[in-house]
Amino acid sequence: MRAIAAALALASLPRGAAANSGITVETVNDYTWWVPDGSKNTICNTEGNYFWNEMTASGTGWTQLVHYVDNSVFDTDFYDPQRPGSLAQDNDTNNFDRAGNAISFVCVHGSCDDCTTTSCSTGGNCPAGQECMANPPSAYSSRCANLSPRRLVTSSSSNWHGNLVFYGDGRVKWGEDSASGSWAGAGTNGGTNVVFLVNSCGLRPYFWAQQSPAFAGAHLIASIMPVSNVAKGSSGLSGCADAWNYDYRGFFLAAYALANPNSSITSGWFSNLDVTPQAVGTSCPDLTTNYTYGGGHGIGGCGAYNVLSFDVTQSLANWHVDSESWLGARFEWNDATGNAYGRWAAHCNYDCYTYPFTK
Amino acid sequence: MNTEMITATALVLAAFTACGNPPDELQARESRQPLAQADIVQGYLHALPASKFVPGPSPGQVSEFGFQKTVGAFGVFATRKNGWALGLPNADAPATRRPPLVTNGEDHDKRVLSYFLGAGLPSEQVQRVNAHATVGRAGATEDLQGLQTASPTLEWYSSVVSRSIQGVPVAESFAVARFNADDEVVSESVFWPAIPASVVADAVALRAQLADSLTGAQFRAKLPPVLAGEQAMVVIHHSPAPHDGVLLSRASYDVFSPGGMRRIRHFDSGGHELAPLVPVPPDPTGGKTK
Repeated sequence: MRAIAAALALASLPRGAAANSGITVETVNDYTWWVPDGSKNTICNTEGNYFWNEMTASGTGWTQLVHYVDNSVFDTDFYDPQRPGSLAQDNDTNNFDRAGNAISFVCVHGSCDDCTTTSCSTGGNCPAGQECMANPPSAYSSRCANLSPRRLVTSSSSNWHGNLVFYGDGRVKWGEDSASGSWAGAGTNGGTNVVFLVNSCGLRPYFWAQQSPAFAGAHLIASIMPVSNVAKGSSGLSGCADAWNYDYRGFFLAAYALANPNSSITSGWFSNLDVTPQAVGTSCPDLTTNYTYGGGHGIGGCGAYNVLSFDVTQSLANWHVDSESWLGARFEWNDATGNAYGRWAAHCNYDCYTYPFTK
Repeated sequence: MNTEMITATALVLAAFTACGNPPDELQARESRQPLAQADIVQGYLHALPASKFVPGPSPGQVSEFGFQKTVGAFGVFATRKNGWALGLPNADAPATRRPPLVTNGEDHDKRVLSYFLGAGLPSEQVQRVNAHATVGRAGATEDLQGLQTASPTLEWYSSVVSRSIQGVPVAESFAVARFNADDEVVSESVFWPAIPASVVADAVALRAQLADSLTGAQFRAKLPPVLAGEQAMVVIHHSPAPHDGVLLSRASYDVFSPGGMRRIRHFDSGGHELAPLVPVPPDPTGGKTK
């Protein structure tokens, strides 16, 4: 019974039960491979370094497994070598999805090319495969967003995929091991249980298929989900909500994990949005400094921190999102053993119940 | 109310005055000299006696990872020595299973603001309250399209009280709470430290400098050209809640940097870019090659 398992202290770990305590962090500040003048550099390393240092400090019970930054973050670190179409160099096995890993944290650029310039008042105004992104009252009309592949953007001289990781294309599989089984067709040589994705436009509602193919045993994928796309400016990016960098995102995330290891991972991730200053990000939905309807808190525009899970039953998929604790993330018996059912939850930087995601 | 307003004793930990010869008057002020009451703008210290968060039966005291914790059967109320207080329920705590208090954000905002003001949060420092909804959905993966189109369910609200002093936002201060249908606090987090009056004065002066057409233009001309036309504001910053060192604070002119994965860049009154208030942790050494 997985719910019971999560409540167990590590001291009472049954004999023979597998537990992971490893932390993996991969982040990129230096984007000079793409833009030599440094104008696209980030502060992702600060986010990751805080998470790494705090989580693996003496006595926490979490252990250091993989920590790479900048040029040492290869695109192949995230691809599974067993998948059809993979390259011989693909090697998540020894990097982002290594055996013994419990939590993997990545902070890199992404791409917001899913935001279009097509104005809409209903979904019917958008072409097939697109949604009309809704928002609180705005000076601007809404625009469509496209169900297009989401990605991590690395910046290394060692790259085999052009420094791009399309985590929804079926070649990225996280969490497969002997406990989960090989149901995802990726062998059993993975290991991570919980993934934190911090990247630009990493997911857009309600396109869960942008992330669902990456599940192969992982319990949860937590990410930042920008929502709004308003007709402000002439380019597709000018009115598009997006994740913002915040120096202390990893610092707070670790603090919540350590303050109460029996609290839910979801609540820790969602609280992270609340305690990030509102000024880290523009307002919802008009991208200004007038926060009447909310916005900011690590996101420019309207958006949310999201968690997504899949498992063999609805109750198990629900359990990962609603009840899995930081300690539960260590246990291999909590691995997803299939993906028949899904569950998502999103904590917004505005009232996304009164003002839904799409229209 | 049993709320503890920050006292002169607490200020030794929470607020410090200028010393030495900082390169600019808006550089971070670090000192171990306690401030007199007149030299600070009061903060708010949230404590368990004033809290509606319930750790549960059989509470015990634990000190670990920089937190002083009251650990009960339902959750943890934790504090740090800098005054950060947070109530975190266990993942299976009964309070987390209850419906939300209300079904609209404005009413939740009112309840949360009333709660914190009643506990002693200074009303004149409330900048705004924003409701953050949590919505979700579950279903069969084969019906993923159904997951896309079905209306999400409201799961709960949190409301975030933001802070300003004399109209200047205090970025890293917050008071957050989530209530359930039983009017219980399911979770909360409060960090609202005392701020040196000199830092507030710096912020007000910087705002006036920016508002003046001549000095404002002179200031903006010193900023990197890439930031021309970007949105910006004067902000009071202090060290973040998880930081255990002495409280650092300063005023700065914050500019939203352009480009993907945006961030904030901070400038002092002379137009010089400021390093992070808290020194960043170093990158790992070594690495790998192909």
